Amino acid sequence: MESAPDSHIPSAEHGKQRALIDHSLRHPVMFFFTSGAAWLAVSLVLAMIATMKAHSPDFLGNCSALNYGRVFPAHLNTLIYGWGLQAAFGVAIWLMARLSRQESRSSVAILVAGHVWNVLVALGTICILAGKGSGIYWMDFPEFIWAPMLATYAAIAIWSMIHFRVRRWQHIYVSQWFLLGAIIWFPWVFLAANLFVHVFDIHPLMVTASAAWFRSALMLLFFVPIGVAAAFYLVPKITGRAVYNYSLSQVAFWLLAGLAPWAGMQVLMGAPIPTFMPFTSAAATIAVVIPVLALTVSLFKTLKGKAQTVAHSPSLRFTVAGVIGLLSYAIFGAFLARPDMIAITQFTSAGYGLDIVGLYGFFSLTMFGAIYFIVPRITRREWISRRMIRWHFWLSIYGVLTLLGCIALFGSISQGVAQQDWEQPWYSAFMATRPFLIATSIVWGFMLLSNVFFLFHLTLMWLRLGRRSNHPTLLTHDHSATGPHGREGLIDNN
Amino acid sequence: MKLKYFIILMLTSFGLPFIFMLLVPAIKMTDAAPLPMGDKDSGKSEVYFNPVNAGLISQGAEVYASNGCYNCHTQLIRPTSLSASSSVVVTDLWRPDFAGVMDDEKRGDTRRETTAWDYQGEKFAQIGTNRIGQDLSNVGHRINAKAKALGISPEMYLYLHFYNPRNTVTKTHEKWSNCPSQLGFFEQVKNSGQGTDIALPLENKPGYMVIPNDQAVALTSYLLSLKRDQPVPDSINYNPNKDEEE
Repeated sequence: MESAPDSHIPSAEHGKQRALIDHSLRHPVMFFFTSGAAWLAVSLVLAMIATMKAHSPDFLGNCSALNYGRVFPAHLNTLIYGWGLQAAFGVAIWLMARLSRQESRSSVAILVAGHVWNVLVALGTICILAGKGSGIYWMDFPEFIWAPMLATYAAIAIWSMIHFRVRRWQHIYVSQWFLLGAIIWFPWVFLAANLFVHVFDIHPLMVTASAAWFRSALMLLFFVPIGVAAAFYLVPKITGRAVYNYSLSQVAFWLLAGLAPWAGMQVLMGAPIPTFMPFTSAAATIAVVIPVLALTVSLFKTLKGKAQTVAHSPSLRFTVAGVIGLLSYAIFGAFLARPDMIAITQFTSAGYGLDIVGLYGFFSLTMFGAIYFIVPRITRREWISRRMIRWHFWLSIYGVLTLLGCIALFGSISQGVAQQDWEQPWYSAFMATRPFLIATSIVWGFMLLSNVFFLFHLTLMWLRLGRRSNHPTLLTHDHSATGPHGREGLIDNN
Repeated sequence: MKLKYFIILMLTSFGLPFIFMLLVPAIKMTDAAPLPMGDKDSGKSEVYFNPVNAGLISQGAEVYASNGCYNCHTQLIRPTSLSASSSVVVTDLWRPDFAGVMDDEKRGDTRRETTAWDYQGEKFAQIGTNRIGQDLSNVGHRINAKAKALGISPEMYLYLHFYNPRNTVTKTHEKWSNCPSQLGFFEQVKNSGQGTDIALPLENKPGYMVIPNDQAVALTSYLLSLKRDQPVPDSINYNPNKDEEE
């Protein structure tokens, strides 16, 4: 649908406009991607340490800063705020500018805000490792960080809202719906949760319930719409087809908007909070499968018969894997939201496994897809090595699959069943967990290796060392001279 | 879609759950009316009182939070059945030492599920997310029993545990533990004078002793305060045998 002919502007004008938009945003977008990828690597190193510590507590000695209780939250918070949000910022501001046909006039402000964001994440992470964390899952940064974070977010995202308001092209793309939703939902969710957790003096159980709600809302109302927006841009763009059934995705948007804010509190089932809360959340979590299914169907119908393109294009390959990840995330989440399953898996690694399937198996993969698409356009250089992209892809997939199998499914169920065996001492429940803790270390090993390739490759692109060619880097074969990009050759684009 | 309708729909879809899942429950739970121990017929008209944690215990809760204990430990005893339709039984209450004390000399079987009053005085109810370690709702009772069997003070038991959870000297653990050692909770000081009874009984450099710092002391008093098995009002007592006990 992006390729729909625009009768008002001639196509050369069009190309020039796109180039101008890319040029105007090149610094902030590249900054978000490279610093995000660096945080991802930091997070994966911390994840390695944390899981090693979980089964071999004396690994790396007994330094307090490297204890499981500090490294593990540091790993999750850098993954979410360091990598997740920054990748989302980069993709969102670029996509919104492109789809609204507006050049950015505020790159400097965004770039400055991006630096502030990085300082805040670094400060928060150091505080966690120094033993000053808040001790609230997914919100472990100390109390003083959230307000400046929200202000920084506003300084980054407000421009995309303005782009949308003054858009040159009146048609609203599916991606724009989801981008707009995510940009509006994040401050709502973040502000509501932080006010309930840090500011209002309320019952401690309601603080816990708000934090549980925050985790699910951040996933379903920020990371999911951003990933979906990227997928709904890339799939039609790369296959050259219009989105299958525009209204279906619009219905999915409103279903997600209506259902997702009710979800999240099912993890507190059995706690002495009003009983309707965990059960309503469980129902909402199960119902979220419907919009996700609608979105997946829409994307796969658009992709139908384009298996070759998926194999060739790094962007599309990552995006499609991410969409499958989204479906797995929703279905697995619904499976875990059944009261029977909650009884077994409530206090196992299942919740963490689900988070990682969502954050890595869906969100990060779609972001990688978008980054492989965007970076050559804004640096005007092509990716250097298809081998590095392939390694990145396959190691990530192996990592996610092992994780899904080992931690999220079999690990958590085996752990939960052992915990339920009340006649055995607790030690036996721990021993049932241990093999899967060891497997988790291997998973993070895969992920770390794969993202070292990615970070290295991205840094080379950032340094403008990419290939100066008019041909995109494809994974399986070289271009034919009759293809849309013409003969292979260097282009001069300083 | 017009901007007006977009804004209305966004506000409604987000506002409704915000009001019904967060705002109203928060107000209702925070301003809960005092609960009488029983109805008029049972003669227990006094109000249920749960001592609010303060001072050292509150500081200990902060140490618990900032050192990430919640990543491996939970503080929630769930009811046996999570829902009427569920066929899976939750066994938190059945373990002999999780939900209370199975055979207390004076009080008998004190096991019960967690109530909303158990977290009073804390900033954040540390329900936890994963049981890599044990549930700590009644860890105070367990530590007391184990320390008594070893002939040491409960505080010393915990100091030894924090210093090295895999220690063999005191055999605080029958088997291996993956709990991290918290060396940051201890400091080595010069032993001048008669020493102190909180110094750890370790082979040490001559003239020096290892003593717990403020964090260890606070965390210890917090953990020893975790005894969530006090009698609760009849209206929230779900023990099927509650009438026989009296």
